[in-house]
Amino acid sequence: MKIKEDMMLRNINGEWMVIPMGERLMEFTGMLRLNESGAFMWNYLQEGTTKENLVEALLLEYEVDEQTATKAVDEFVEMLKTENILEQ
Amino acid sequence: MEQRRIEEIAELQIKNKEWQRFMEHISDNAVKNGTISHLTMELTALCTLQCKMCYVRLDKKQADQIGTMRTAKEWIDMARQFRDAGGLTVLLTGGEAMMRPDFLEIYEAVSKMGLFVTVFTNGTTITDEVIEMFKKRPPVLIGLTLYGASEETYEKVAGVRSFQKALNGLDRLLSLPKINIDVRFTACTLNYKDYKPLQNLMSERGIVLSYDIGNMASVRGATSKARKLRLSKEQEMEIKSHLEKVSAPILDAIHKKDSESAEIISEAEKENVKEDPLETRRLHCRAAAFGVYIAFDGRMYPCDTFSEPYFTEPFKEGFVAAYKRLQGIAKEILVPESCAKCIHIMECGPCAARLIAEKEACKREGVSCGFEERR
Repeated sequence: MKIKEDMMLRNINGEWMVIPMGERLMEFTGMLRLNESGAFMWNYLQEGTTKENLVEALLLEYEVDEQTATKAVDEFVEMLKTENILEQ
Repeated sequence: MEQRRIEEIAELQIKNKEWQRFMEHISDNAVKNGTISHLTMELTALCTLQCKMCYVRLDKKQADQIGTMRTAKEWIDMARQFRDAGGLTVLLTGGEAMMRPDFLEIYEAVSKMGLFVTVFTNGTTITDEVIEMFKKRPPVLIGLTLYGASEETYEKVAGVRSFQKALNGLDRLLSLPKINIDVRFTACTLNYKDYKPLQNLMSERGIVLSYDIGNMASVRGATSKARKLRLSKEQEMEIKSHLEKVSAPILDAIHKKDSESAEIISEAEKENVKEDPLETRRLHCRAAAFGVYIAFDGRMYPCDTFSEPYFTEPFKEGFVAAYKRLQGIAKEILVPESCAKCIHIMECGPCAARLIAEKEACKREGVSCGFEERR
């Protein structure tokens, strides 16, 4: 899985925001904001990764159990798919 | 205008309102944190038109005397520094920004940085290359200004018969599938009667004109006749009431579609009204509080309306250092004392920058601002 190239994550005054670029700009229906863990996962997905690797990265970075990390990854990936941000 | 188009414009305006709310959130945060969210880059002070009321345009000789135009590489680097400082929106303007042969190089680089780019134009520079670029990378908004509804009016106002060229430019932009255009009419005594035929032409295209009747006193070495070409209050009202009548069905459609948006529009308008402009002589606005203006020669001002000595030099100091220093300068800016006491302050102000420009023009031209005579 990988983040599409026409989206960029930026920190604007302490808020993580997903900025649409190119033609995606005109599909703006509200700005997508991420929390710290969302931004953390985004950076992995930008390079391209798997759900398993993302769970592993979360377990290393945050003090959470595997079940919580898996749920967080599933929800995040689902949200990105709904927003048409991920390429498989 | 067709009902279907009215509904479309209403939808678009509701969407634009959402966008505006988001941008207000961003600028509020920038003000709160002392950072920045907006940058205007005046890529050139030269223009394809020579409008008699333009407050910023310079001819080549004037521009050369004032300073050197910055290169594409320098502008791109400046935009990058702004982005790295947390900036989000960039306006590319002029003069006529798109008359620069390297405009598209700057535009493409800036729009790839994760910045939202707006472009201002007079419509006479819309080439095949511009259309191709905007297809691939549409700006978040294009502000296109028209100056009349005939070649004769253009000749009177802008010195060149460029009306059809500008209209063709607009039509080419309108042919793009995803484009957000604000078409503006800048009125003065030479062209104001064109508001009706021009709005008729726009209605055929499903557009309601915005209008500008400010006619600012010229700044930063520009030598327009803006002050002599100002409309009377009656002429201003004539334009305003006609365009309000044209836009009334759209406002009704917005109310029907989204009462919340309509309420927010009126709240936003209310917020912009200063109850007492004499309360303080300091800047009331957010110039240098969340955004700045960099002129063609690289000087950074709180907004487009300021001249010397209210500037810093980002190409020498670096963007962030120049911005911080400018914020300090802006805090000390005061409305001229005589303007602060003037009963006509609401006619030319209460913007401190406009009042300072007006005062400077009074000194330069040796005549008063004329607001008293206009009443």
